[in-house]
Amino acid sequence: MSLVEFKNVYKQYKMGEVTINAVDGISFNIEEGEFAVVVGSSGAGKTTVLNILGGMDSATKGEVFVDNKNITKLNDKSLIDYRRFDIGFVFQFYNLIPNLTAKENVELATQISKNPLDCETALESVGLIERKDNFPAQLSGGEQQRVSIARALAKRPKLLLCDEPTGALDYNTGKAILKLLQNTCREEKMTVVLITHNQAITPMADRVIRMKSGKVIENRINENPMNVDDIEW
Amino acid sequence: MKKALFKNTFREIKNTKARFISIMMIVALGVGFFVGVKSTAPSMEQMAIDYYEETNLMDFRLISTVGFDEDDVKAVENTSGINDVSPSYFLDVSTTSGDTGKTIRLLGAPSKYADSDIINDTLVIEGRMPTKDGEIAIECNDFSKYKIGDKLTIDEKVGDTDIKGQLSTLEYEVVGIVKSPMYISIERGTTTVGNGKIDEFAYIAESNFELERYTVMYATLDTSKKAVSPFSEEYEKLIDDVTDNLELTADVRVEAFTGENIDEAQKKIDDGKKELEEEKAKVEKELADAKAEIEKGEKEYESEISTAQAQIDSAQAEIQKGREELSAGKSEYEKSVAVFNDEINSAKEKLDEGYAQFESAYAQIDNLKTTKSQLEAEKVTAATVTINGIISTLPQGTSQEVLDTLNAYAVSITTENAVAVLNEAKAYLSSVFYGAYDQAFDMALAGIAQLDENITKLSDTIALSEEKLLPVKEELDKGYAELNAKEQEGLAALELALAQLDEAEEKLNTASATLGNSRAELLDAKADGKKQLEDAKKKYEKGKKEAEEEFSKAEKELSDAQKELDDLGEIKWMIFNRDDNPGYSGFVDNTGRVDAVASVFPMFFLLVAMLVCLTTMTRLVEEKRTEIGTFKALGYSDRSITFKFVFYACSAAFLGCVLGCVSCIPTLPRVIYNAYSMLYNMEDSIDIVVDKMSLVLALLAAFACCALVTLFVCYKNLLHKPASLMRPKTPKAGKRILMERITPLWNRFNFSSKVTFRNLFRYKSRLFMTAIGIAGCTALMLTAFGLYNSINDVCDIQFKELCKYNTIIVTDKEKPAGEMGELLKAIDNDDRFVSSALVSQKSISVSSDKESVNSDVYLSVAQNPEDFEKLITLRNRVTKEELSLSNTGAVITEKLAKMLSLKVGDTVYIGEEKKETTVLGITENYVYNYVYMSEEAYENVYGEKPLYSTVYAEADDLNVDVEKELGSDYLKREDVTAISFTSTIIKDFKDMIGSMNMVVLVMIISAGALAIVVLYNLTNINLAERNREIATIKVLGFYHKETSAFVYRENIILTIIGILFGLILGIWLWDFVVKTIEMDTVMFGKSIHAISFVLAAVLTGVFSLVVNFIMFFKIKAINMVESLKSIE
Ligand SMILES: Nc1ncnc2c1ncn2[C@@H]1O[C@H](COP(=O)(O)OP(=O)(O)OP(=O)(O)O)[C@@H](O)[C@H]1O
Ligand SMILES: [Mg+2]
Repeated sequence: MSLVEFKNVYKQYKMGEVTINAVDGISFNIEEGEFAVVVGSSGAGKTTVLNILGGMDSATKGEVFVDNKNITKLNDKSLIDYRRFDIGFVFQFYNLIPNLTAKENVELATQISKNPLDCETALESVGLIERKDNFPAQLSGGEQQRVSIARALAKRPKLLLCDEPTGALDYNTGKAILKLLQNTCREEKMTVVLITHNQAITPMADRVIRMKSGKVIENRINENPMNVDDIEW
Repeated sequence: MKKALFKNTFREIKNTKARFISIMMIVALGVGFFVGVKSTAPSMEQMAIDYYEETNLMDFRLISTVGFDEDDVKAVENTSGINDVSPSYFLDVSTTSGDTGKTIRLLGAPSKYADSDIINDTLVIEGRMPTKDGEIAIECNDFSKYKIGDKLTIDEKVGDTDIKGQLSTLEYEVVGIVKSPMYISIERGTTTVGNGKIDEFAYIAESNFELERYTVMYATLDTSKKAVSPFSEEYEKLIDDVTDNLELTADVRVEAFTGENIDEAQKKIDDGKKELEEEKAKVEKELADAKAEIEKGEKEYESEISTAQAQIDSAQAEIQKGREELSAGKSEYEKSVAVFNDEINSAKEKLDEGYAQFESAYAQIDNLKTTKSQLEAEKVTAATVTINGIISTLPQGTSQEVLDTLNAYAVSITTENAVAVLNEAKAYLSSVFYGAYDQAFDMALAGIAQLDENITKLSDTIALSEEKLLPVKEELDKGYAELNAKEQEGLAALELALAQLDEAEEKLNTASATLGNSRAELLDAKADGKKQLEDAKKKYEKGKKEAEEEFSKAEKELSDAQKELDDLGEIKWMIFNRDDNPGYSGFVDNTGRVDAVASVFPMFFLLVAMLVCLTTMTRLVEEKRTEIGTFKALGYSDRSITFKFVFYACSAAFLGCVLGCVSCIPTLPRVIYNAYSMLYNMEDSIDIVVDKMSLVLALLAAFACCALVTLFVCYKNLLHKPASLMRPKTPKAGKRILMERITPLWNRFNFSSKVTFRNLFRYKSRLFMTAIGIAGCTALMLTAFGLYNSINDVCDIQFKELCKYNTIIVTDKEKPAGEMGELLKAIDNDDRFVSSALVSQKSISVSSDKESVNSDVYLSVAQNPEDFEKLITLRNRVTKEELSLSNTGAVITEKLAKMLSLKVGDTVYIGEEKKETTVLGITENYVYNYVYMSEEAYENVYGEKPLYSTVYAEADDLNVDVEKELGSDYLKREDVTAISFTSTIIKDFKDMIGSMNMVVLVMIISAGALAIVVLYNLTNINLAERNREIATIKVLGFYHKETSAFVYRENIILTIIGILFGLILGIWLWDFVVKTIEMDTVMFGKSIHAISFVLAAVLTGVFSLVVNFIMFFKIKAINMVESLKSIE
């Protein structure tokens, strides 16, 4: 069975009389160790899907299995446990705690994990070991995003979810971040789900999921994923 | 304002309800509390003004040392500035009816005098005012236990003053319960009778007073009451002016009185004195005559006695002489007896001597006779031996016949025949033996011849001697006979002499007996005479004493009259105004106190309100950066953008003001007045008079602080260019704090502690707001609890630890300790009492070099300091070290020492006379002010012993029944006027305190409200500000508890800091409040109990917990998705 499996998942927002189907009955699956990219235009429901997958949001209908666990049926406590032990999240706007240094931000994650990476190792893997004692405000956007990735990696999650991690970054920095994620996926055999509205990135993925208006319009496996370095956009 | 902006603003308010309500609530609390409390004083003042006007309270009260007459009344009425005058009476009396004795001030029922209005009108609570003799209306205060229909008997005397003569009746029936504007507080003032305290006042009809002159005049000012508030300075000035006028009137009237009364009285006294002198002289002369007569009689008596004595003395001398002669005769007789005896004896001796010689001579003759008979015996022996010798030499064979013959010869030998026998024997033997033995015989015969010769010689000698002795013996015998005759003769002569002597003695004895009789007679006569004399003298003395007594009585009468006149001495009018009414000035002071407290408390609220507003608005404006930028970019002016926020803040402030005013202004003054109404006997409720000044001030402050703070925050943000505003604000840079430098410590912290500490130091305004808000809450609460302690300690410490006595017995009058014996003994022997002490107590004024205190100070003199200290603990409040009275100075109470700024060792001046003494110690005391002295110390200061009137006693297991029993037992005594028990004082006090506790409760509630508002607001903003952070860590998989702890830690630390500061601040605030509201007569407890600190801290902690608990759900509800959706 696949690591991630969406079965006919709906997410509806009721705004008075109108019902908006942000996610409109989607089903797809992602295998373990894959680097999956979700693409789609703005408002397609990508973030909603990721949030449901990350246990931050609940589906209105349908079932989501992660590692044979139906996360739509989990109670509050188990859902937190799920986020705590199974999920790593990288946000578009980094969301580092401004009052903690880079290292401390990573520690924030390692303190609650069962089998965490050493936080120095994590920072080293994102190449920021020298900046470990800097506060977020003292780091550039890319550096902050790398700390954010280090924080997610340090938990050693089953699933690494990234919502437009390069959205606020320039081309080169974005590329470096993507490379870091790809390497992590390859080397650590970690399943990575990455959201982007940038079509150009899709060649680097093992699996491409294309969404439109809350529906998955394409779910294909990329037979020859490319290295990030070889992609230009 | 543009419509869109308006809409936007209302939506903002709707979206941030919690913050808006926070600002509103804090403003409501601040403004409401401030204006509410501030309005209390004016409301109370207005109530007083109305009450005084309604009852037409006098403005002046005049008293004179001699009372007043109609002319005086008219004179006062005509004084400029005076409207109405009402003359009346008052009399301080005591009553022993009821359970305990009481000192009552009897007042004449207010009545219309001439055409003036009734002054000091009473309010009848129940029944009616007395209209005829024997009716009485009693005051309505709690400690008056009378009911309508009760009977009340006034004591005939109070102290030395006769009351019976001053009242038409002493029996009264209670017909009404009233209150008087003159007695607005529970104070009843002082008096010169009883123990110096008036317990109650009561009204009787004026016709009951049998006094020649009015004792008091009440007068009102000419000015309309409505025009001038009695609390204004204008009124004070008016009073001063009119007082001056009244003084002039007084001078005139006093002079008139002196002319009419004093001089005449003086003349009467002088006449009396003169008359007395004359009478005295007359009586003195009579007495002198009597005395002279007695002296004469005395002299006569002396001479008569001495003559009789002389006669007796001469008889005595004669007897003496006779006795001497007799004894001379006796001794002569004895002498002649001795001589006679000597003579006889010597003659006898001589005769005896001669007789002895004769005897010895006779003895010699006997010797010779013996020798002769010896010789004769020898002759026999020699003859016998010769024969026996021859026998033995006879040859053997000599015939028996020879032998027998020889033996016969031997045996037959005698003195006379010896020679013959021998010759025969010779012859015989010669015949037989032929002469053989002749020779032997011859020899023997020769020997015997010799012997014979000697014997013959001896016989001759004896015969001769005997012949010589015979005449001697005859002569001796004759001598003896003569001597005997002579002795007989002498003895007879002596016996005769002795008989004569005895006769003489007999005679003397008879004479002596006669003398004795006459002597006894003389003694009797002497005693008789003396008694007569004595009687005469006694009669004289008695007469003299009587005369003297009469004179001294007359003199005393005169001097009393003189003294009375002198005591009037300086005839004086005393002009009092309302300030001298018991409790009047206290009421004014109290309203001032409320005002002072009102000024302090709301300062916190305003300060906190400002901080709440600042943080809230800062947050709001920062949240709306983008929006501000957008509006700016769209072309809205800075002013209209700013206006939106100012409008937001000000509408919150406005609603807060309305809410605060509506809820607090009508309630707070009433609550506070309710507390005070326990102390005051005025209207039951008050009409609210809003202190407009404070209202305006509070509104201005509230609006200004909200608006200014908002303007300030907006200004800071509007400076930026629209573009930079629309970009997310660069997060405030993380900063290292000092604590991180302590690496070992820092490294031990987990991330949330680190965040907590960094946050604490980064968001200073938040830190201050919370700390100040919580500190304010704790401080208010501590003040409230501390106040509660202070007030309750007064009762608890004063009556449980300091005053051990529970019974006070007041005597009929002041008297020296010596005259108290009976009462003291009765108390001593009463085993319901454990101990007792005799005390002299009077109301005095006291001063130091700097200050002086004139009211509510009592001089308490202990007759026996040891007993006294058993009942009244004298000790240092702080060290609890016991103090004791000594003869070198006085111990004063703490409050008094403070008011006079006195230290131990300083000099204190007692009474009007300013007697000096040293402060020996300062003792803990809470109610009233005392100067304690021992009797010796008093004597050292005043030069005389004090007069006593009070006994403090401690009864065992005192309860209502025992009190009743003691009351009836002791009031039966002639020498007891009143007996009271501290239980009633304690109850009154407890009631009073109970009402004060209401104020404390108000404070605690407002403090709690403050804490909740501040904490809620703070946490709310904290959450909003850290929404993203919280969402992030929630995404990371933090449990709810961990997430909350992340937020709470800061709150908890701030709460703890705030509590600590608050406790310190609270001590200071409490100290201030206690000092402000303290009255002169009461010292509040000087310590906050530990439990109060704990309560203040714990309650604040609990409020904080409640807020945190509410917040827990808010944290739980934070939506991760929405919070993280966009950048702010
Ligand atoms: N809280 C909400 N209430 C109502 N509608 C919502 C809410 N959240 C999302 N939607 C709707 O759901 C749809 C999907 O939104 P979603 O954020 O998943 O899009 P997206 O694919 O991530 O777009 P983008 O690339 O712009 O981030 C949108 O049409 C949006 O309008
Ligand atoms: Mg999205």
